[in-house]
Amino acid sequence: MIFFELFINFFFIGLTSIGGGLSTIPLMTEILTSRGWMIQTEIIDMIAISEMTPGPIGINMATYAGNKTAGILGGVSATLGLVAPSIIIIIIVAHFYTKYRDNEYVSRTMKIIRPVVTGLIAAVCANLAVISLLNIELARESGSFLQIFNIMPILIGIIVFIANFKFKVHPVILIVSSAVIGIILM
Amino acid sequence: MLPMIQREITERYGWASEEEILDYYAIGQSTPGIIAINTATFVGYKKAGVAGALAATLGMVGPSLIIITALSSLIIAYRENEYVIKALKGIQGAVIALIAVSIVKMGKKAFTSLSTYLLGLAGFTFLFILKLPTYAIILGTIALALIYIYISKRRVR
Repeated sequence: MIFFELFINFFFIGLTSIGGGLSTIPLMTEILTSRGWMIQTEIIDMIAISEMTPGPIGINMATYAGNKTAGILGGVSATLGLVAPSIIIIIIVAHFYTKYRDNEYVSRTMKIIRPVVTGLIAAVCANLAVISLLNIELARESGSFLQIFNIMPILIGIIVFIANFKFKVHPVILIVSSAVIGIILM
Repeated sequence: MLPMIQREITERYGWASEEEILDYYAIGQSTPGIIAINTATFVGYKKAGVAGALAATLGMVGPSLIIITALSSLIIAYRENEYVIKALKGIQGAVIALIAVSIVKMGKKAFTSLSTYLLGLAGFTFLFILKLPTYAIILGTIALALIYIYISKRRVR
């Protein structure tokens, strides 16, 4: 049954997402695309909507993906699946949390896993960039190297990066303005 | 999100002390799952047991469920609309840039030495170039990390 399948898959995503932030993205992308629940460009839509709305981005993505795959109940199944490991693990850890917090295995494993997960997210980001910022097919057909670059999205990307990183412009403003630019210019 | 949780929990409701909240957050960061959910579950459990943990978690996911369900049905319904297609195309570059900003921010915390840079590079290579399954990379890292820590601890003794 699709709801159970969503629950189990997102349970596994919750269990292996360590390090916070966007750490759910690599495994979620892999599961969604390999099961045929979403294609790469839909992954980008999912991340955009999830960045724009309040609430933890991982939860937003799970709700979106579940909805896309199997409607409202699908969204609920995926979201509950994602948080279920947290509930179980936290209830267990809460009983001896000072011991857990000070445990050398836990703290040192975290120090090792964090950079690896950051590398994984960078890999997903690079995959998405290849798909939406480059036109490999078009360049191959025309034989012109310059056509490989999708100029507009690349320009928007550079501006958004600087605006958010340097000037702390809120992601919602940046995403909405990029959507407007897309409607006007693309 | 931590400042908001902290303010609501300690000042407004007095469910936990400032110190406890920081502890819960530290644990939330080093357990699997979404950090905000872990922290909320922790507060709920400490305050009202298993039912409290469930209530806090459901409260935390409630807004996402409602807002995203509404938004995604709209997007899915109008996915073929010309303007929606153009808007989503415009967003592509922005989303990739925002992920890149998050990576830089995560990197500042994660990359603290040469060996952590190498670990990051390894993660990137395994997924982007070698296309290994993500779960295998994560579980493999955890297993190797535990073995490495075990051996290095024995050596100290």
